[in-house]
Amino acid sequence: MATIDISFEKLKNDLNIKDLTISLLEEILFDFGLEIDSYNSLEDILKIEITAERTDLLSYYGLLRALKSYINVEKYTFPNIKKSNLVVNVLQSARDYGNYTLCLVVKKLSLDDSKIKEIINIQEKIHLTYGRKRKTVAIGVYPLDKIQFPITFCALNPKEIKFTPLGFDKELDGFEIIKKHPAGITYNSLLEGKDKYLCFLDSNNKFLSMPPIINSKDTGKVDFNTKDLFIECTGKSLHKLNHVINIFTALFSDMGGEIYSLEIKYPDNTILSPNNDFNKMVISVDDVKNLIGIDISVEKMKFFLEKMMYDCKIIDNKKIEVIIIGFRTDVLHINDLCDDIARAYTFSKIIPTNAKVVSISERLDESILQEDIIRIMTTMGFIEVMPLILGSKKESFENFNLNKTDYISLGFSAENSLNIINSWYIPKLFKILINNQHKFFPQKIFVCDYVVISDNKSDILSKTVLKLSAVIANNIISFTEISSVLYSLCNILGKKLELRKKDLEFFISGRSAEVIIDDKIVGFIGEFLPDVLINNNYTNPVCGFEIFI
Amino acid sequence: MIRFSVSDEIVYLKIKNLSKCSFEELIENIDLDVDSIRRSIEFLKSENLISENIFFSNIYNLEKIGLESLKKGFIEEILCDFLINKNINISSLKEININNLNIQEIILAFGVCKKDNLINIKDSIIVPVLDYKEKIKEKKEKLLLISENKEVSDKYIDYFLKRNFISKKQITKKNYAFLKNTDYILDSDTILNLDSDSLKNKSYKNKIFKEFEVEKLPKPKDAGRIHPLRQILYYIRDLYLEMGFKEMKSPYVDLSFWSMDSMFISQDHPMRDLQDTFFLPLNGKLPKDSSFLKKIKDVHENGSKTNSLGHRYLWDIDISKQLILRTHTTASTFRKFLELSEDEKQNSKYFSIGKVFRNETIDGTHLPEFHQAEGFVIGDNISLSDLIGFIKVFLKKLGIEKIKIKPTYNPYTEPSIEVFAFFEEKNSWVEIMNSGIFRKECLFPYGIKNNVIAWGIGIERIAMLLYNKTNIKEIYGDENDIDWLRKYSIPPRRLI
Repeated sequence: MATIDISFEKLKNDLNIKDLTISLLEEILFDFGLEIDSYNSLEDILKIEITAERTDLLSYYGLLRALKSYINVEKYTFPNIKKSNLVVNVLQSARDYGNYTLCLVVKKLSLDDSKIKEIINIQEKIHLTYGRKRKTVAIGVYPLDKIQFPITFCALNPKEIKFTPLGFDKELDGFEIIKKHPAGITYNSLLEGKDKYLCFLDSNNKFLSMPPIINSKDTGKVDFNTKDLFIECTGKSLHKLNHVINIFTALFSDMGGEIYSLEIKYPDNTILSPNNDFNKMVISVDDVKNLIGIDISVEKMKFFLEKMMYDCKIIDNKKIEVIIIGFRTDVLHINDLCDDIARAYTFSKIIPTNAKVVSISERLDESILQEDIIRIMTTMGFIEVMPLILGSKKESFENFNLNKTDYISLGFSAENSLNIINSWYIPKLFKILINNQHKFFPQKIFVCDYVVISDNKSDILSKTVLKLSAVIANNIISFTEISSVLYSLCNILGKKLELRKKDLEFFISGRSAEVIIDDKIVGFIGEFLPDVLINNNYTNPVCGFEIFI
Repeated sequence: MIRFSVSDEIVYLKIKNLSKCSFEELIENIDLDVDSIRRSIEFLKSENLISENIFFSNIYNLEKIGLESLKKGFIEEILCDFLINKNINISSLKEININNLNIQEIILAFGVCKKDNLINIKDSIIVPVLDYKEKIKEKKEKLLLISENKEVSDKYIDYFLKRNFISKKQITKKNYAFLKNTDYILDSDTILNLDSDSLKNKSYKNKIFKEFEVEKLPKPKDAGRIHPLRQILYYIRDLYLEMGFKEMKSPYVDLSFWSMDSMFISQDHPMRDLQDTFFLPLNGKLPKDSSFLKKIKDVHENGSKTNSLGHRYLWDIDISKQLILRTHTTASTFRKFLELSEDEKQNSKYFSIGKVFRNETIDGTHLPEFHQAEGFVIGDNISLSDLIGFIKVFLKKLGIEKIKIKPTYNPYTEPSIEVFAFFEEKNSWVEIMNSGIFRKECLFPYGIKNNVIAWGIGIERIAMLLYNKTNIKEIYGDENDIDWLRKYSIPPRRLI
């Protein structure tokens, strides 16, 4: 989730609501589906969290236009687009890699610091979120007067691409840019393994940029003398580029600029960009009734849709044709429109109903068994513990003299002490004992919960299975003390218990056995080796068992 | 003359013999039950024959960061080592790359450097002071001493406590000292405990029963208990069972397919980023039903027959084969969708409660594993107003009646709502559940035509509210305090 920083005073002013307070705004945003992160009244910085689907709200102007419309200050209309007759030629070499570009030109902007900041911010935020760190969309902004049209978008051998990137004083080639320039270093993984890099060239064969990495210093610097801009975005999904170019169209228009389209000439067709050839959907009052559970007239539905910035045409007394402005990245289905209608209606006004869906409750056998075992163990004086199942190879195996390979290891883990999924609970019970050495003894603890064991026959190469593990720690312990617990448990559950002497790596030789329940080997029982206790920094004797359920 | 019971005599002689001893030593050395020993100690104290001394002692343990700092080196040292002679500008601090330090650690280290005067900043250039090595070395030596349980001045203790390198534990100890000799007679005419012999030979008849201090409360019984979190898991499970839901389950390790693709989460969605999910370096096998897989593919690519635009990209079957640790229990829901009978596809109610995993570092509010409960309802004409109705009934069972609902965004539900509950005590609204109506794109591959409402709730959050704890590690995990597990009180099944 991204946040934007805006000025509350400016918002109050632009919305023209003199008695707007932070708490009132908070209520409005709440109904709209947004939250205030914080407000610094001294510096007048209001931080608002923007939910992931609303890329169009990632700027002050985006939020302002949505709020203006939502609280009925002003019905939103998408800007007029004039034709510039400028041309961008896309060569087959760029298409060979599946790339597209869409562009726009804006004129007569009067930029100041805050607007320049706004442009940079939204560009970065879109790069990060909707652009998936420039993987799906990259955006470039240029002063129009520095560029000679027509422009060419193509892919070239990196050695052939040569310009001075922003922030540098020296000409570099494509390879050098991705090795030396900070943006190159950050994003070079996007170009890994490619033998040609994308670039924009103007009609004098001057390099403008190398997307998605960096612009040229000569043509990439925008300041407050700049009046006219050229904006391009590149990526492999035409509809995503369309969304982004429409977001910028609305933004620059809101900033007071005039929007011009260009002709993007592809080898096989020409696209006018931007254009207002938007998606349309037909929605009926029944759709709203079915999904939201409210009865509204077609006129009311139109009113609510317009609050959410849609253009509508009533078809008949049930249906409306809705035009979805191209900056809405999130409207895929009429249910998305229903959701917006409900937001305009406000969720709090929806009267709760109680659907009658008759069904008889049912528990899984395994859950019932787990609960029974937990109850039996507690009646025998054991305390249930609930350790994590993620653990470390050292604590789970090496400390127990085991050299196992059949565990499932985690890939990247943020918590570097965790690197495996445990297949047994004994090491975790030790961890809890170690953390409680200063507490009262004896300590009798158990866990009855799931672990993950590897299983090559399964589709998911593993099984999530229920286990019971119990230990007793005291200054004196005995094998009988723990085996009597297991024996009682089996008696209560009506199972046949058999113990067969067997030496294990972590038990004292001659004091351990395999546990056989109903003729199946399900686990082990024994008294832990002094070595193992020392490995675990533990200075009380411990006995225990662990079995599959 | 003082009258001693048998146990009084044993304790008296033992303390006299040792002249000084701790409570633990007495218990270890005397073959009597703890209650008798306690009673005798109280008696001897009241007769001024022994004295009791209660004192507190602090134990300092190295925390994880402390241990790591000893192993890897202090982060401020790593930072200073890096900064030296590099003329790094303060504004580019966030962009530097240091082995072993992530960005948060760099910022933290910078803060430490500033506070401990390890660096100077001239014209925005960060320069380590000349003697920074010595300054850090001194701290290191002190930390080592603490790790060996050696005495260190309070200044350093405070310093390391603040940096969470060490933690403090206070323990209470009791010592007893012998005060004076006395003559006594052994009280053989009184009976301490009635036994079967005295019943059989009727010898109790000539004796009197020694009075007990019945009003004094003893040490609580050391009983077996279920875990406090289990109690809450049972509560939430009961809520669903009371409302007629059937239980379902799915494995911890699962295919990305079940946790993401089947839920219409696009393959380039940020949820697939490394930061949240444990991606296992393994690929599993997809369900064999190829027409089902084709439906998933189509619905992603073009919405198939749902009248949705779809994600408009090429769905890559291989990405969905990667195994992950499930990030939510919704995978159980989608696995269940595939098993539903035709009747159940019209009308059914299911719930699951289980562990989920997030690839996060451990702190006071985050553990990499926690529990989620989730339920879904399929019904004729079921809608958002029914979802709100269900949530109201569900939360009322937890004592929550004052709620407000906010529209939100989930990739697999639309509409989606967040539910906030008002807590009078805290005078604040707390987000308590997330819910919504599954997108048509999610349901189409399973042939479910009715709306499906669903809601999920985090168990640990409820547990923290019910037990009034602010640190999740106190509730659950490897650091559980066994004393709390022994004596916690069962909270009522009402949050408010």
